[in-house]
Amino acid sequence: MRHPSSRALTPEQLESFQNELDDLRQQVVDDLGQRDLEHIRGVINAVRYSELAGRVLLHVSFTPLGVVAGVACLSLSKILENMEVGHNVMHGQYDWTQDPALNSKRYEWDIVCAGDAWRHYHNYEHHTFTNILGKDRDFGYTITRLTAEQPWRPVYLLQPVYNVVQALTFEWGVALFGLELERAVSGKMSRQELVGRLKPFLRKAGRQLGKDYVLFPALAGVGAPKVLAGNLAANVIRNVWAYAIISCGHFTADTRVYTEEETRNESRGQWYLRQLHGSGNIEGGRRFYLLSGHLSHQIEHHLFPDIPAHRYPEIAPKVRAICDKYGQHYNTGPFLRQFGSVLKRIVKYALPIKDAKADALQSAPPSVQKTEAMVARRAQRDRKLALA
Amino acid sequence: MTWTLRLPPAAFAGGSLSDLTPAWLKRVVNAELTEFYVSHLSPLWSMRQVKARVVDIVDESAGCKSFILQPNGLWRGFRPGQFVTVTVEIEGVRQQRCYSLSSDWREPERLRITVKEKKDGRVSSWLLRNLRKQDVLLLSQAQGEFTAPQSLSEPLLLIAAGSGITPLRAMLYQLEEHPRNTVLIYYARSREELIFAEEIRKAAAQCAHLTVHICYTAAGHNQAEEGGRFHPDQLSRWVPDYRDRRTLVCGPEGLMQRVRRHWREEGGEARISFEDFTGAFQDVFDPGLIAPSQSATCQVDFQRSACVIEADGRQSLLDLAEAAGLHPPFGCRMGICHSCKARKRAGVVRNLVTGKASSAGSEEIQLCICIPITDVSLDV
Ligand code: FES
Repeated sequence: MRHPSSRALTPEQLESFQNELDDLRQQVVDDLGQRDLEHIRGVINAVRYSELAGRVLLHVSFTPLGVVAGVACLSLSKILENMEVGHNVMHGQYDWTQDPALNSKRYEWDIVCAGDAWRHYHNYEHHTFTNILGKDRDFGYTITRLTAEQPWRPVYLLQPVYNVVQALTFEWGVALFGLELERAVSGKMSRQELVGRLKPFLRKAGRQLGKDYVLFPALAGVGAPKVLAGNLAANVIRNVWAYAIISCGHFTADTRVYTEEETRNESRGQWYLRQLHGSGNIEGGRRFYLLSGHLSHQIEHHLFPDIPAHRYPEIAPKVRAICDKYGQHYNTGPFLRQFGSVLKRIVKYALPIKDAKADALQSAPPSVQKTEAMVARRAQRDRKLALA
Repeated sequence: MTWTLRLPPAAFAGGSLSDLTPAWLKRVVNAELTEFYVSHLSPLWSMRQVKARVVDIVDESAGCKSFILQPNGLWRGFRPGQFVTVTVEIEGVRQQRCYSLSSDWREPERLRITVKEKKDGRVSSWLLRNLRKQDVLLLSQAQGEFTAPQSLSEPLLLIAAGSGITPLRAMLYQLEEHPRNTVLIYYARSREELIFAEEIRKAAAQCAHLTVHICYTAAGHNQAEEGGRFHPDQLSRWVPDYRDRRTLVCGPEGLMQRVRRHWREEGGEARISFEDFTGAFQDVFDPGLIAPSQSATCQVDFQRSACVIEADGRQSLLDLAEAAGLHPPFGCRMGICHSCKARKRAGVVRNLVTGKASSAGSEEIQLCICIPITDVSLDV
């Protein structure tokens, strides 16, 4: 349950750590109201109108500039819809409003992955078993080796290549991933279950393909190839963006992995610690946060998956202060650094290395000195920031 | 971001439009998306939801106002005595409350609901304080079976107290067109709190077959002369043939109990109907009113599975369902994944994560982290 650069907590400390986070959550829950509803409705407005603008531009303009603007609007719409609206609404962040259009169970997003399948493996499996090897299938999406604890296989040598493909086709990866086809291949899934999983997938994928690659191009008449290409481009841009943001959330060098044994009979406080050490944030501006669906605040999201995401930047300083108080590492950095660290990890573990240093760090007792040094460094940096 | 084009609601008769839409188109068109664009053109437009604009607000008495509502084309009309569910957003949360229609059935474009200030009526207070002309409300279609019998030869006895007069007022309009022998007994705390006083007086003057008795119940009134609270003697004095009448009663719980008791004693229960908005449609619930006791047992009614079990206030609803042999969906069992969400139809539960009691009405709850603290009905 320890992170290499975090302090080990006594049971009493762990409990008060838990209480402080619970209190923080309660403060936000008690404060939910009109502002949150206006936020999400505003984003939904932006999604709808940018989609409208994008589609109209793609249809009517024959100049490169117009087409590029159309693709930009459509990509923006899809990114906002998937990240800030779809992901967050489906987490139950707006269920308290009792608005059927914002109901987590009913919402269906603009992506080939069917909502119900995603709700199960993301909301339940990934958020409950975050970064537990073998249980959190999101960790490496089954096909990427990200830690020395995963046994090496020759196919991993290709992972730098197929991660590029994965980035380009991310929505398909997400949808297929939810089907758990690997279980069907290894014979662990009954025919009936396979059909039960395939049906909603095919229905949803058919709908999405029909919309972007048949209906709208057909409506454009002679402009069909242009509209088709534009829609494809928008989908790919959204895919690459989502891939980048999401992999920064859990695959940076600092994020820890867990074994099933060490997480058995976890307390709520221990669960909080695992969410903290299994996630990483990205620093940026307000617009960047919004475009990332506030997954820039992956730590806050994993601690409190069902409070409206636009609140995460507000509470992040408080979460960080609690982490500092209990000597817990808070993994954050600018986008390029975090994403670079992910890419490094993907390349590094493609090779059959047995990372002795990482292993030692994972199992070593935490060094108090190091923690103090870290706190001092951060204090120094914060002072600098305050002066600047 | 919202731009609005104001057009008369009849210009977009959503009902007929969706009926004209071929089935294949309905399958292709994303209903949510269409609804979005349509409602952004005008807040009153919709493909599937009755919405109504407030066109007038009338002060009825102290702390009581009528709202005149103009519904969109989806409204299918009502029978006098029926109610609508009004949905409003208060502090970002949708709240629902039922209001009887007090309007004249001959004017389907002018609906009227009458709202009275109540001590803990959150929706009513909100409506009275915040609702302005031109605002738009979400409405249900007219609901309820509290209506006068079809046969005009059957004489009526109407008993109302306070704002319970609203559904009966709609019935009085009916009398103007379809006369029938009717007695109305109406209880109000004082003269100032009478609702529709003038209208009722006019109706009584016009319709020879309508007799009205108004009673004041507050201290300070001459109870002997003015009737006071409901009493069986009043019936024998004013409506000697009340046993032969079809009786409709609407008012606060106290009145309904007294009337119910009397009719039960007389064995006339089959000929009486009550309109009751407490229970599932309670305006607001103050958890403090019910002392939650950890030791007391309560009943959990899994309505869809037709299964009722006892709870001791310690097990979560998910555990209880499973103990009863049911298999509701679940995931984390710790309140984070929302897989176990289910609709609670009535009753109060405590959320183990926040420690808070829920409201008593219909809402979605997470079965894995809620324990019942009163009898609870679930749609499971
Ligand atoms: S089972 Fe996950 S919230 Fe109830």
